[in-house]
Amino acid sequence: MTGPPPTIAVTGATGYLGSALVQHLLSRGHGVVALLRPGRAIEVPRHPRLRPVEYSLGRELPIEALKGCVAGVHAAYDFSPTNWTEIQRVNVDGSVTLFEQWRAAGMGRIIFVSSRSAVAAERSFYGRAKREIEEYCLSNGISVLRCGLVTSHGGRGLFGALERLVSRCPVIPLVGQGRQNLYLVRIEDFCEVTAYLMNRPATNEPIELAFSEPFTLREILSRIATSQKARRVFVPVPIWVIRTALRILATAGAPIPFGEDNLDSLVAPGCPPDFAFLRAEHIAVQNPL
Amino acid sequence: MGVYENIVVGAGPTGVATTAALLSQGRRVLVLDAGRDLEPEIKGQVERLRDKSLKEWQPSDLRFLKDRLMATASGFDLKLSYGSDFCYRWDDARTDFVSLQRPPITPSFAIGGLSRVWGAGALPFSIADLEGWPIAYDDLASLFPAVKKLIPYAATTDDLTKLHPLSGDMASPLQLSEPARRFLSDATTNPRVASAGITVGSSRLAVESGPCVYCGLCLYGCPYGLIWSATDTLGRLTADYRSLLEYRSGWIVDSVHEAAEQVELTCHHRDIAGQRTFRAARVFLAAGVIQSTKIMLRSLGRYNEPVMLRDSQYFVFPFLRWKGTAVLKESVHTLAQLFLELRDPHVCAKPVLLSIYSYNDQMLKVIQETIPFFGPGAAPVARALAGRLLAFGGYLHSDYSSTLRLVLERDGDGRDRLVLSHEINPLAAATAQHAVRALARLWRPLRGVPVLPMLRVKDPGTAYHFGGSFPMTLRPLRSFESDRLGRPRGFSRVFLTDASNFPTIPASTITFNAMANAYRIALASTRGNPV
Repeated sequence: MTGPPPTIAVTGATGYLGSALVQHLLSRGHGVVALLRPGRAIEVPRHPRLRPVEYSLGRELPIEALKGCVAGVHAAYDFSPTNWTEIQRVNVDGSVTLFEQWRAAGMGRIIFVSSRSAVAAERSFYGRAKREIEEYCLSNGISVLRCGLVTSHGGRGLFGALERLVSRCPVIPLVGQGRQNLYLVRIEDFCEVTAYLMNRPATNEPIELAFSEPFTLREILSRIATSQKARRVFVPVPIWVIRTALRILATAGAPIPFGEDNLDSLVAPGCPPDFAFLRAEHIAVQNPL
Repeated sequence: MGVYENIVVGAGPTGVATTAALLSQGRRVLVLDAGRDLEPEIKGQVERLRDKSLKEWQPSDLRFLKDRLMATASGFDLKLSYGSDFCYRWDDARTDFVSLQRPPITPSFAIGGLSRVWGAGALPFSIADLEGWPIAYDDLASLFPAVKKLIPYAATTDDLTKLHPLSGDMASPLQLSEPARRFLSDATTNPRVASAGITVGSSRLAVESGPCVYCGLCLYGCPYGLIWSATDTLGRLTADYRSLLEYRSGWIVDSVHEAAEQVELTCHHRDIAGQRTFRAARVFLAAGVIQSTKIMLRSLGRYNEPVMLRDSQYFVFPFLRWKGTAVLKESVHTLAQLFLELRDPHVCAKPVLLSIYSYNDQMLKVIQETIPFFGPGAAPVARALAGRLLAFGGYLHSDYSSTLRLVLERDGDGRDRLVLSHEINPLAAATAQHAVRALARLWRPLRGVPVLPMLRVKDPGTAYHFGGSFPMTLRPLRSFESDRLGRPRGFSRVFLTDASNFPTIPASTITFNAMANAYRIALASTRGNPV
């Protein structure tokens, strides 16, 4: 006999991945405790099985808030700090504290949502923070789900930013030559696999999640252009030019939907992922494009 | 000059609660109060009004009350007492005061303090309200009955009682206006409202309801003096405890200093030059948050160092009901008719409290000013709207509110200046909006909608629900903290008994609860050695 699907705590529940995951879990009958920054609770769906709880990375989590939770998915990352000391305090130490509280509350399955940026950790603070959290997780029985570039339609995240770029600009700058290999995964697959991991013991290695074949940036952009029925001209631009431009825009306070960290994710492919887990578990990831 | 047993500074609500608690234990008390009072000529006019019956009042009799109160779409600029601003006049000749809020916030030097102009809301805190306080709920709640004996308490048992329990006798509640009665009935009969986390009940008011004639002048000052002010209690205590209680008016305290088992209080008098020292075994500061904080900052020598005051953010908006009532013909009171508590984790992790007001004559004025484009047709439209509008005044928990910042500055020539500024918390406006939207979602069961474009989030402090400059903690480690008895770090005989010691400002009515807290501290101070 099995009871109703268990309740799962999710951080970053208003984020790109978190919000999709919350919807997915709710549709599967799970209860969700959505851990959200103050003032953000209004953004999660009103659902009888969803309970919003205020929480900021780096702060104490009221332990009674976790009542009934058996598993947790940590998909939050705070982009507001800009220097490494602060990033480490909020994101790395904050995540470790969160995991410790979750374990103390008796939550048996914990999944950390990481990124392929962690492979090339030296290239960005984001990657470095993700890598440090991964290291803690792997030695403490927490599953690490390292996702490729997550695609969705009309969506948010980096892929959404690329879609908007293509729809708005007739001439598209290609980072470098646009030849770097990128691994992609559909958001539906991300949700499925995350839910699947709730029932699996943690592994000692990060679980790489992406479609088996990579795409080059040029390929991705031209496929987006084709799907939008738009003709676009691609112009290779050296990365330092784009980086400088982004920095100037960011300093000027321009509302750009694309930051330096996004850039790093595009140019930091690292070594090809090892899909051992997906193969061993016979998980088929669909072609996202 | 002898040493007094207890000195209470201030005779506002917390001052009289402190005093009453001490007297109840047979202790001797000297009350030092700034004690400014209503102008005698206005007092005379109020008395003349009181001597006539309601039907004999002429519009000219009321002019002195009404002429100076200005309401706008964003609420009252300054609530006056019988047309007088005596409650807000700055009386400290040794300190200058600057407030950067609009309208400016002024501490009160009046006898009775701001209870001379308050809205009389007296909802006891709920268990959720005391989250984060270093005392147990019962430590405070056990004093609610004692405070209730100090004030008239017009209330009834309803849905709100479950969240904000209060036992004992209550005066009969004031009659609800027809719009309020209908709103209450709509809100309590449809289960969708309760399942959205909303609890509605009648207001709890410190008003002597029996003799009320429903003249509708509550906002200007009750001609019959039925709205409780601390002066009522002070008068009664003075009569009942003639041998124990001494009240001295005109004194403004500058600083306190603990030495050799006693406290030295340096003060000056409004009309006498120079300073003078009083000595007491124990001193209770209940001068109001700004004054008490000023006294402590000067006593600690902490000049030019900002201290943060927590505020419960105030916001106002109209609520338009589909169906109107003939409210213009109705005799109503114009204090809060209903209280509505919203507990919705999607809106705010802490409860939000809304006071609901039905029609008052200022509302009609505001409507007429807001819709001038109707020209000659404006009057009937305004009347139709007035019959359909409820005014909501909302409060947020201090965690979701902006903060006030108080600095005591000293010039080269030794003159002190107290500056009150604020720091905006972006969560405040967002949370207020979320709360209003949460009500808008219930347009069907509530039979109306909040008018969101007319939501006004007021400047911090405008509702005078602030405090927490020396928050109580289990163990005061930082300099601007006090212990569970409101004693600032480093003091054992000086007790802050006004809201200066509140760790948070819950979204609620503050006065009744601040009185209970003052009562608690004063009682504890008499029991053995509380050090």
